[in-house]
Amino acid sequence: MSITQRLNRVLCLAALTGVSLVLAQPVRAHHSYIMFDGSTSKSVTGTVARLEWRNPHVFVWLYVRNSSAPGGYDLYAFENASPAVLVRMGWSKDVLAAGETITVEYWPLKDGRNGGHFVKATRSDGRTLPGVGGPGTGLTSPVITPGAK
Amino acid sequence: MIRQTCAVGYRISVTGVLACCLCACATQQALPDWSGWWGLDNPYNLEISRFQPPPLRPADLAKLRTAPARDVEADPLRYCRPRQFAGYSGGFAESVEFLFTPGRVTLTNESGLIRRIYVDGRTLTTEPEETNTGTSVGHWEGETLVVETVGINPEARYPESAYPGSIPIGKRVRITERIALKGADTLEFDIETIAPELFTAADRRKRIYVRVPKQFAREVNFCVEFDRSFDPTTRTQRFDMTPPVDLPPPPKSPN
Repeated sequence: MSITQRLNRVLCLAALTGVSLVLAQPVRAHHSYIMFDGSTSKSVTGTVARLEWRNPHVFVWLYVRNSSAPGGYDLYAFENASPAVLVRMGWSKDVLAAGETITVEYWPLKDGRNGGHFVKATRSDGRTLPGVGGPGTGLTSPVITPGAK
Repeated sequence: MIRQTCAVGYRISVTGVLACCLCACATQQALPDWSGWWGLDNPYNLEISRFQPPPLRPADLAKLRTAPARDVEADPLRYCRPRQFAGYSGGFAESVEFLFTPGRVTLTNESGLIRRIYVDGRTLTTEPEETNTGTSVGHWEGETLVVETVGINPEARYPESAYPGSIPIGKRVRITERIALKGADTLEFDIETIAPELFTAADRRKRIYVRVPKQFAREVNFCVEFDRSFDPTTRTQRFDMTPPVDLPPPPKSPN
């Protein structure tokens, strides 16, 4: 590997680190994130039920298979930032379609219900969709994939 | 003779008017123009009580720090108050927009703030009417726009109305902003806030904005009929998991 290639790699890593640091910072919300456990993140894979595109927070609803649940599925809810903020991160009201399979990383609710604050979604082709906001422990998505759909 | 004198006077007048117009146009063209949308570069700038505490009285600072976890003590109208200006024009959740027109700079944001800044040479009145955004006049010092604002509604909340624990800014407030480009896509606000009923000294802080390529404004609104995150009747935070009424059924075959 040439010196130029090594330098480029270092610069790329530095840039990605910078992006992740910016994303990891807590952002202003109209409420605190006290209901979320920011000390750990969880992941679930399921089928998008609805992208609820509204103020003040966008919610992602997800059906997650659970053979012991009535109907064979649990319904999860994930809070995210406002539409105006998410648009700047590559989101739109159509970015997630009902029926699409995604894996959602989230900060769980402290009360144990199925849901939490959205950290990021990974699509079946590996592309990621970062969330914004949340309790902020540095677990936020490190890579921006604008215009993911 | 009279006719000749009038003709000369007329020529002089026309020439003078043209000269003034050319001068005014040249002045106008020489002024900076950062029209468009801007977003706060770093949300930490808003974590004021944590990273750059304002000169609040200790009890008020403690309230600002602890209120987000105890919403029941917060201002019950905070999500539905009209946008007020208490030194911060927005920028992260809502982009800020600058509009430049002759004699005036207008600053808006996506949650409804409109600040009309007159840059036509007028001076601030000594007894301005109290309004949610105050009365603002500006002037140029080189390429820096200096904006002075007085007449802010004493009930306007600091740092902003939606912030849990926000505090009325009080009377006799004067805010001076020095706004200048620090690069093609970077805009700096240097803000001094004098609020004798709120602060123990003048508060001075910088806020950096970056240009946001944006074609359409979006609405940022905390005053909504159904907020999954906040119960207006009990004034407490929540995480409402009532499914949307038109939620499609789960898939028939497991994924």
